[in-house]
Order: sequence, then structure tokens, then C-alpha cells
Amino acid sequence: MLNKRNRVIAKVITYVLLILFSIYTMFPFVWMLISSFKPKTEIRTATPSFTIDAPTLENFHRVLFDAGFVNYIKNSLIVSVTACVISMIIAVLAGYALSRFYKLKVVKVSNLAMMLSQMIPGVLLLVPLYMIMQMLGILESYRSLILAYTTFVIPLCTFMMSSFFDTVPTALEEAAEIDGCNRAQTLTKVIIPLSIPSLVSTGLYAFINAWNEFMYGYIFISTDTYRTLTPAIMLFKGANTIDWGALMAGSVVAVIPVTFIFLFLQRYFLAGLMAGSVKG
Amino acid sequence: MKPSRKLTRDQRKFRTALIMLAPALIFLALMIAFPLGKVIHDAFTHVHLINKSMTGFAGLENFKTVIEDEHFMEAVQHTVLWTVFSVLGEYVVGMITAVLLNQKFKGRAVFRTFIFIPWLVPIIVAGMTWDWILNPEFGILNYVLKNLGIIETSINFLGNSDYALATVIFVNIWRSFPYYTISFLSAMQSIPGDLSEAAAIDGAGVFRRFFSVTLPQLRSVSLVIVFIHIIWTAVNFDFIWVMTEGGPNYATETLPIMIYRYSMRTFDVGAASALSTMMFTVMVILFIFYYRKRTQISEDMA
Amino acid sequence: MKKKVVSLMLVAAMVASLAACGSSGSSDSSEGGGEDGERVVELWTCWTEGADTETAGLEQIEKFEEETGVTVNQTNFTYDMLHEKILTAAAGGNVPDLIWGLPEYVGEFYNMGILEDLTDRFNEWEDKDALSEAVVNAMTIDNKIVGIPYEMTVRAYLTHADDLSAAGIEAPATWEDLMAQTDYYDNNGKYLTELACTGVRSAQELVVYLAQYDLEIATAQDDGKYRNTWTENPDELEKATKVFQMYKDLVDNGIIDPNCANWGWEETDENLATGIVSSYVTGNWLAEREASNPDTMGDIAVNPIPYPSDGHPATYMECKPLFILADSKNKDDAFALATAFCSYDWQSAGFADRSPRSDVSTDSKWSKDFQALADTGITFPPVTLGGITQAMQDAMAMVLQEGEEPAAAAEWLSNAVNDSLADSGELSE
Repeated sequence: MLNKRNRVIAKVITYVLLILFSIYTMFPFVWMLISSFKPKTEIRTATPSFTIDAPTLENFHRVLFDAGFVNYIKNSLIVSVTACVISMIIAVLAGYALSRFYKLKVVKVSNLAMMLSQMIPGVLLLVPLYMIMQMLGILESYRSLILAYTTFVIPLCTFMMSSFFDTVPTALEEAAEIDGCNRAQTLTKVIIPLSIPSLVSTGLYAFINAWNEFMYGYIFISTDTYRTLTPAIMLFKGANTIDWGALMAGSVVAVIPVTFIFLFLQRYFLAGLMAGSVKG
Repeated sequence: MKPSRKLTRDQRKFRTALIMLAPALIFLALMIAFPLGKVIHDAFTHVHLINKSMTGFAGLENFKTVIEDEHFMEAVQHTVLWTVFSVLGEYVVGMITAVLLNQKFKGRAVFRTFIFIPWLVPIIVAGMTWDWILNPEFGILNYVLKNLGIIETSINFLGNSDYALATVIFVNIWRSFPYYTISFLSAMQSIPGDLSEAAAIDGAGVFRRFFSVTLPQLRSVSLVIVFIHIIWTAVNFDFIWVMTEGGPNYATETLPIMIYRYSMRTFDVGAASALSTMMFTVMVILFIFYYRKRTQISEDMA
Repeated sequence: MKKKVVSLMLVAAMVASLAACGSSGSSDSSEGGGEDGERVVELWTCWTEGADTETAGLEQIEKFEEETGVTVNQTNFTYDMLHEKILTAAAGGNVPDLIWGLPEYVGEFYNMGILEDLTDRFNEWEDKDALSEAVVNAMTIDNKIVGIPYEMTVRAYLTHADDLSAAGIEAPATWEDLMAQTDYYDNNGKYLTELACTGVRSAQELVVYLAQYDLEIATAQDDGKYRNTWTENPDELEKATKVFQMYKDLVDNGIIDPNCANWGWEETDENLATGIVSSYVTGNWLAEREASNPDTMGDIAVNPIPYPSDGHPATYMECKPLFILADSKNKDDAFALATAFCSYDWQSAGFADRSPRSDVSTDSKWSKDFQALADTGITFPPVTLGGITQAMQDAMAMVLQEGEEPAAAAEWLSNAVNDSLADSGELSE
């Protein structure tokens, strides 16, 4: 048993280490925030400083109104939310099949296919996917991005859901069946309500993934109307100048929404991830 | 088989499973399998965006081009270093933070949020921000280190080939370790408390308890998470591209960067596809090893 | 309670997704609008967000739309993004009508066969005489005009006049003058000058120093193709070696920061603008740094680029073309828009300091002093440059980072350039 003195020491060490780790994780975030409030004359100097002589909202104003970020935020939201919803639906169905019918050959093959799909470098699918999108006639629309983002998260989302379903006793379903429910009813009335935490964490994963993706966002979309946030941020890296103030303000704008969503749903996310990572 | 209108129970099961899997499979077939087929096809074909005289079946020539590339071996080496050290670092930092956060103390939720933040930052934003922080002339990090007297002259972290790879690995660990933390944390919380208590009563110290109780319980999570991150790290393109574009002087060039260079800089799609095919093959082999190991672990546990 | 929150979110998500389907559906109908006789030009630009060029550009586009009844769908990118997008788009055969480009793209895009030949249209264009011969040449490949210029800059040797007078020296005019300043760093606490050794800028600088010795990175041959001839001419190889020797000596003698081996334009321009270094070869876009760094940018003087005393002055002329793509469905209006870009009004409004037109300039040093250097301007040969500029950077890295001999680097570069030409099918045998 730990005695009291040891416990105090352990606590102090815990705090010190956690503070150090927090500095490591939070520093770029804080620096981004500070820089975004700096006026042009302060942002690029040979001696950087943590304080701001004349804090300004100029960068945010430029980003949100002159550079059209309001529209980009809207686009990112539409794409991410839709991709998130579709992947949740698909993952619930596929995850359920993976969990309940794992003995069937078709399920085993699907499982394998999903694992293999994780092993393909994204860069190499760029040109073929572009051509597919064009064949489908959905370049320059939200649908191309939704399709791509949904596909990339399906495997992991499915695994997360299926490992959760593994923890749900089949007895529940059997009881429902006796009550006269068919499979669909069982799923919607019994299983889904139980799996809210897993669903939230699956959805959040899909959402963050879509929100943060960059490469496909800029290859598939060429008009301001459908442009999403991450490619828009890169626009401040101009041909001969980098507008660091606007770049940092744009980054803050991109990070804030996910951070809040995460803060709000943190508990579910942890619970859901736990189920997912045990099986994978 | 007797002709019967009613499906057998097995057939019904098969049908249900197929219907439920169908949406996922359609997405995967259209967006992954089909393009992958194209890539494998191109690997054995002459495809060049500019030199139109290069057409037709290429046999193994594209593979030869790649292997004879003077930067190929270097890129393989970098990919291995980048993957191994990233995953190792992420694992260690993730484990330490998870152990710390798995105690009861005030402010736990706040620290947990702080630690998870990097995972929420888009890769390009993270890359650009670090790029700026690490700049030798006007970056804050060099400035702070110099003021603290730790270094005398600025270190060109991303621009000096001695530091560049280590630096991108460091930043990659920053961005990816929170996922480990959270996964370990969740897994630790599912470890029955009495196991650890029993060990404590037996007089086991903190470290003993960690190695003899906690770590073995995390074996399964560890395997999954390490494997998945090996794959994700090895195929990652954006991070290195945003920060160094593979430079300075190829010091951070990994295979995905090379694939990109082939297709977008020298326009040799055939060679890019050949390299992709090689990478994919290696991944599949790794996967087979992983699969065996996992089966073995679940048998052990059962 | 918790459940309610989550189900509320799900409902919100559903609604949003329905809205997404609705709005993407409506985009289809507007795309189909072209068939009703509406004239649309899809334009891709690469201006800096928020800069004057953008403000002027948007105004002029609006004017163009009013005058012609054409709808211009303009989207802005960075050059890197635009370049990659054109490559993917061309592979898929789905391209915009008119794009901004860099001179480096001319050979590459032409060889891909995605550029429209503008020769006939150009010859009928009444305003064509406003462009100098050098500018028109930069738009020409295989005797075909493939671009309309929208911006022209040359490089100059910018010096912080206050720094130099404090050090008691004149602006160096030759390589030898530069080499003589071995104690500049010790006396003044900063380096005299710098070089870009990575990225696009580094190749542009190297090509100037080569041109000061009349060397070309790839020379046109009788068969219409190109090759690097250095290894076949001992004299040329020797001169190329001298260029690399100059890079090496500048670093070895402490005239430039050894870290510059890893710098691209982001670092070098930044260093000059913030006064970290006393001089640098760069372009007149630095004018906009007068506003952001008023303390350090006030004393900039514009000089010719230092040259070797056994060579002659040269500078890099960057004449940026507007391309019309061969797959464009509306080439007439695209050409009209391209020439509008190059019109007196638009150039005066958006590119007053850096216009390709001989009749547009201003009295500032950023225009006048730079224009004065244009006669010595050189450009890249019109070949696919992706592999070649990479090889140029690699050669610099060999000298500055790997400690290779300049002679070896020069020879390696010559062969690497020919390999790259062979890859793209442009090598003269």
C-alpha cells in the first residue's frame, strides 16, 4: 500500500508530467491563436513575441468576409455532416452483419476487403478517383467529396460498430424476435438505442476525418461555390508572399468547430472508441 | 435439393447479411477496388502524361525504373525510419499519458481535453503551424531555445538534412499520439479494478503493477492500434509534403512522396503505379503476419 | 436528456444532408444553362488573396461581363494547386477555358497537347504591338503563340542601401565584388547576401548565373528537339563548373549563410524584407512588403544582378502567360477575356508595376528601375521543366550539402537534364 507521502509525490509527478505534455500538445494551438490576432507589422518580425502590442480582428475579418470563409465553412459542414450520417448508416448495417453473421463466407471476405482497403496510399488513387468522379458527372459538387470521404471511413467505422455489437448479448434480440419483431425492427428498436455512444463516436470520427481532409478537397473542387475549408486555407500561401496572419486566422476558424463538438461529445467518444479499439 | 418457396434458415441469413453489407461493398468496389485495379493495370503498362510515344504493355519495365531510381533505396529507408519511430514514439507517449490520466485527481477532464487537441487539428494546418514555429529565422521555438541558453545558434529543423526527418517524426508523434492515449485509456478503464488492487496488496510497486497487470491487459488493443498506425503512417503523404515536400535534398523523401513525384512532377504514371503496387504488396504481407498474430492472441485469451 | 440531445443532432444532420442534396441538385440545372445560349468562361487565377491585383481583377472582370454579356466563373488557386489540378483535369479531359500560368508550364502543357494554338487569333489582335518582341517570344513555342501575357517581371539585385553605406561599400556589381566581402558578416553582424537553393526560385536564379556565361540548360537542336550540350563542349562544362564554384565559394567564404542550402523563396524574401540579410536577387513583388515591414523596407535600392567579369549581365525575365485550353468550349470569349487582361486599362489597374505592355509603367523604382534591366532578360527553354528544375536543385544540393566538387555537379546536371528530356520525349539524339 502506498503511504501518504508517496501518494503526494505521485500526485506531484502526475501534475508536472501532465503539464509538460499539455504544453507540448497545446503550444502550436496557442501560438496559432496568438498569431491570428497580430497585425501585419507584428506577425513577421525577426524577434517573435508572445504578447501583442496592438491586437486586431483584421485577420479574422479578412478571412471571414473578404476571402469568403463563411461560405467555405458552410460547404465543409454540409460535406462533413452528410458524409458522417451516411457512414454511420452504412457502418451500422455492415457492422451488425460483421458481428452477427461472422461465420458466413461473404462476411469473412468483406471483413478482409475492408482491412485491405486501409493499406492503399491515398495519393495513388488521386487520378483514378478523379476520373471516376468525372464519369459519374459529379465533379464540382458536394457529392464527389461526400462519396470519397464516406468510403475512406467505412472500414474503421464498421469495425467500431461491429465490436460494439459484439458486446450486445444476442439474448436481447431473441427476446425481441419472440415478441414478433423482424430483423429491421429489432435493429431499430432494440440495438440502435443501446448503441448511442458507439454511434456518436463513429460519427464523430467520420466527421473529423471529412472536415480535416485536404487533398481530395482541392483536386475535386475547382469553384468557390463548393470549396471546403482546408484547401481554402492553403490559398493564403500565395505565389510570392505568405499571409501568415490570415493563414493562422483561417486555421483557428477551421479548428474551433471540431474542438467544440469534441468537447461536447467527449464522453461518448471515449466510450465508443473503447469498444472499437478492442477489436479493430 | 427440394424445390421450396421458403428459404432455408441459412439462406435467409445469407440474404440478410448480403443486404446489410451491400452499401459498404458498393462504396468499396466503386471507390477503392476499381481504381486499385486501374493502378495495378497501369503498373504493367507504359503510361506517361507527356511522352505520348510511351504506350503499350511494359512488362516489368516500370518496376525496373523504380528500383533503379537513385533515390529509391533512400526512400525505402526513410519510410521505414519514419514509420517505426513515429509509431514507437506515439506508443510510448500515448502509454505514459494514458497511465497518468488513468488516475483519480482534480482537473483530469481538462488535461484529457488538452492532450487530445492535436488529433483534431487538420494535418495541413498542423504542418503549416509547425513549419512556422520551427523556422530558424523568425520561428518562436529557436527564439525561445536561444533565450533559455539551450542553443547558441538557430537550428534549421526542417531545412537541415541532419534534423529534418527527426523533426517531421516529432511533429507526426505530436499529431497522432492522442489516439493511442484515448484507446489505452478506454482499455485500462475496462481492466477490473480488483486485479490491480490485488497486486497492490501483494506489495507490487507502481512499475511492477504496470508491467505485470496493466500491460498484458492491453496486448490486444496494442496490437490493433500499432498495426493500424503502421499502415497509416507508412502510406501518409500530406504531413511530409506540407512541411518539407520530401526535402531538403531528399532527406525526408518517403515512398508516398516518391509516388507523388512520379505522377505529378515527372508525369510517369506507369512508374508511380508500379511503386504503389509494390507498396501495397508489402502492406498485404504485413497484414498476413498481423492476422496470424491476432488469431493467436485471441486463442490465448479464450 | 442525453438521448434527446443526440437524437436532436441526428435530426439536424439529416436535415442538413437533405439540404445538401437539394443544393447539389440545383447546381446541375445551372450547368445545363450553357445550352440556352448563355456564354460562360471558366477562369482560373492565382492572385494573392486581398492584394491589389485581386481587387482590380474583380472589377475588370465585372466590366468585361457588362460589356460582352459573357459570364466569367472565376476561381482562385495557388500556382501549385492550379498546376496539379490542370494535370488531373487534363488526364480526365475536363478543363477550364482560360488559366493563369507560369512560364515554366509552357513547354510542359504544350507537350501534353492541352494548349490551344493562338497564333491566328493573336495576329488579328489589334493591340498586339504593345508587346515587345522578347515578350512575344516568351509566349511562343514551335513557332506557335500559345499564351497571352498578363504579367512580366524581371529580377533585380535589391540592396538595403543603409546597410551598405554603414559598411562603407558600394553595391557589388560583379561576382568578384561579392567575393571580396569576406569580413562583411563579422563587421556587420549579418550576411551580405543570400541564395535560394530549393524550390522554383532556386532554378530561376541558377539559370541566370548560367546565362551570364551564355550557357543554356537545354539548347534547341536542328531537329526541333533539345539537349544539354555541356558535356560535349569542354568550354561549356568549364563555365558551368565556375557557376557552381561561385555558389560554393559564397558559402565557404562566409558571404552567405550556410543554412541557405535549404532555403526557398519563403525564407529568402522574408530575410530581405525583415532586414536579416543586406541584399538579395528578387522581384518587384517585394514592393508590398513596404507596407508590412515599413521599418526595414524603406532603404531598398534596385541594382543589376552581379555577373562574372568574364561574362555579361543577365536577369531572369518571368513573363506569365494566360493559356486557353484546347478542350475549351468557348475559345472566342476566352480569347476576348485574355486580351482584356492584357488591355491598357486592366494592366494599368492591376499590374502597373509589372506589365508586359511597353506602354504601362509607373515612376516608382519598382517599375522604372526593374524595366531598365529587361533588355538582359532570359527565360527557360520551352521544354518540360519538372524533372529539369528538380535536377538543378539536386545539383546545388550536391555542392552545398554533400560536398561534391563543382565540376562533378556540373557534369551530373548535364546528364540529368538529358535524362529528363529523354523521359518526356524531347531529347534530340
